[in-house]
Amino acid sequence: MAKRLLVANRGEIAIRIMKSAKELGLTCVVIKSPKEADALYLKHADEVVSFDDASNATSVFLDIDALMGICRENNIDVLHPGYGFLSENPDLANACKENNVVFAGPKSELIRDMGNKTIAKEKAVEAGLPLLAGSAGVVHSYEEAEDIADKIGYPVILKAAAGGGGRGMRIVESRDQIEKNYKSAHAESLAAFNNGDLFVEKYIPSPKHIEFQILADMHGNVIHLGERECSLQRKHQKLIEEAPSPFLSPQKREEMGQKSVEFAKKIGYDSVGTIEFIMDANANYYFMEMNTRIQVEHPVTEMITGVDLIAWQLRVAMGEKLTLTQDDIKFQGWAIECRINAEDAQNRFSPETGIISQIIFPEGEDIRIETGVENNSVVTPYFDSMLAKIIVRGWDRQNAIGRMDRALLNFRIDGLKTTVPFSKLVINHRDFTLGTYTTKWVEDYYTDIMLENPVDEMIAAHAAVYLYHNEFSKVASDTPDFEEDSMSVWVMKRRLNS
Amino acid sequence: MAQEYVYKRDNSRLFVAMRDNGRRFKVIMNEDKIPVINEKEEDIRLVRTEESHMCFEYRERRFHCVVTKRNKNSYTMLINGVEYTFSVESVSSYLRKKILAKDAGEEQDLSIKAPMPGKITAVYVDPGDEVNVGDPLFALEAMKMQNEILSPIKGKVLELTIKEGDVVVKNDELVKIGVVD
Repeated sequence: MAKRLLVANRGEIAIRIMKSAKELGLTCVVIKSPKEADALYLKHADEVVSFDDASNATSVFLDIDALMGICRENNIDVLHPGYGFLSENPDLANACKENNVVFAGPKSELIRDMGNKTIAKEKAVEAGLPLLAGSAGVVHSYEEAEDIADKIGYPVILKAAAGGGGRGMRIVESRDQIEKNYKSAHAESLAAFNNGDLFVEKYIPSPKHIEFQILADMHGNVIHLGERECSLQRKHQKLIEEAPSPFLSPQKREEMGQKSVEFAKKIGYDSVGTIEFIMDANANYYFMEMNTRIQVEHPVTEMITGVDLIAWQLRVAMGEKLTLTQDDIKFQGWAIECRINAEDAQNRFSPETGIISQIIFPEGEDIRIETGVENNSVVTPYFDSMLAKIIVRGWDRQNAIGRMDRALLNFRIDGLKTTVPFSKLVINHRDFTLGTYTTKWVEDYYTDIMLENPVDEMIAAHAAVYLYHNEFSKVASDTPDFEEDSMSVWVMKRRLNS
Repeated sequence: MAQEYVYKRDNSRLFVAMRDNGRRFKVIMNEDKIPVINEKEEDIRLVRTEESHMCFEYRERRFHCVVTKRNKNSYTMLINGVEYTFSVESVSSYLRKKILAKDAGEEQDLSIKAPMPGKITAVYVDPGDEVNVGDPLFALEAMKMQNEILSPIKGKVLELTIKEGDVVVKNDELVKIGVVD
């Protein structure tokens, strides 16, 4: 009988997981929450289980007991957590094990170890990965943080030991700023992760974010699928990713890839995973953390390697041996991904909610669209703001940029503002085309005026005048109203304009 | 030269669309002809229009233009995902506004409104505090992110209507800052 997969996630990643799972012959079960009862991912499933979490404090995707209940009632064999939610929660992996459900991810202990930055760094040192100078373990007061900062020199960064996604993270430029920043990072980390532990390390002002994709099985086979560069970020949230990185030499790629594989072997890694590094202007690299889940930006790697990462994630979880060797991995062309978020780039990327009255995606050779929305989808404040990802591949970087530019031009959405104008701006900007952009680009160079375009502005001005003029003419010609109500034309005009 | 003739003779077809940043577009709407914008004929043609959505053609490209906000003579137009706000005036109202602007006061007190819905996680100022441009006023947590709200002007905190832990919706008035001379 076909094995049954529970997709413990929503949106585009739920659809993406089901695509690979169906090819493996799995029966796909998804969860329907009243918070988005008409979501697109529900239509892609073989079976839909309803779960009413409308009045619950936590979403069903964050509720281990609820998920295990659904697994038992629906004879689930395999659970895929996607990204976000509980994807890096060791308790879910444990609960799966106890309930005889295969968890599409690494062993629970690996998730726990890699989720704890202190332990992860110890393991990295043991495996010979370079680390930034900083606190050996967590610090417990701002005074302690201050002592370490004095030793390693400012600027330093405070980070939540249990953190991720930029929460509980503060950059401290000088000694007088450390107390305030320690306190706010501690509070934020406590609120977000129920753990207020912080550590301190040397801060690189304008780094590159480079990450290596690892693929491993439970039989000791480990390969890497090259790097992705994800330096285009805003508040530590990635917005545009590419593979390969324009900043890495082939030698550096080989060296970092090999070290990443050694690290994964050393810790006994047994799934897909990502090792994140930051790199300074002299191409010195430092281990940051390992993500033990599939990443949002995995398609850029798939585009240049032809490897289906989610299919392999499911296969190795079910005990299969990796049949790919390092020599099988060949990089072909260049891939770029732009995340399309429902955010207003003209207003500090504040979230946009509402109904998508129309959405038209670009089509074409080497364009891949991953999305969880369609016409008439409702964008709610309950979930993250990512609507879609546009991924393109070109034969080289310049070609990929050109394809992305055209893809973005052919993307249309009505009803919400998105980050598309921002993406267009970035990929055409000199810092991007030269490949010199860093994680500080948005903070240091971006202003919303850059989104404006003189032709668009002129057409918009004309459109505003067109509307005003129409109303103006209407007032002048609507004489019947004028006579019947014996209303002054000035009063009418005021009413029309107010 | 024919256009100039229209411009001089028929002020009822001349409008000024002005943005907050001061950029101005003088637009002459010609019946059955292409518009003149800032003294130049521009081949903008309306392809179709429905409710608040207009589609124009210009230099063989289509431009979709949606009215996202409208208040009196102010129009916010969304085009290629970017919003532009114009206040449109006829020639006479434009001239009147210019005269009025001369008499109006210079700077005014400023209310800081919530830019997005969220929760106030920290308040850094008290009433009476003097603040500079860029000083953090409070932290707003929205979509799992901490956002520091900075003062856009130099001034004095007159009124504080929030405290730590408050949940606010978009456009709630949070802090009032008075201009100091």
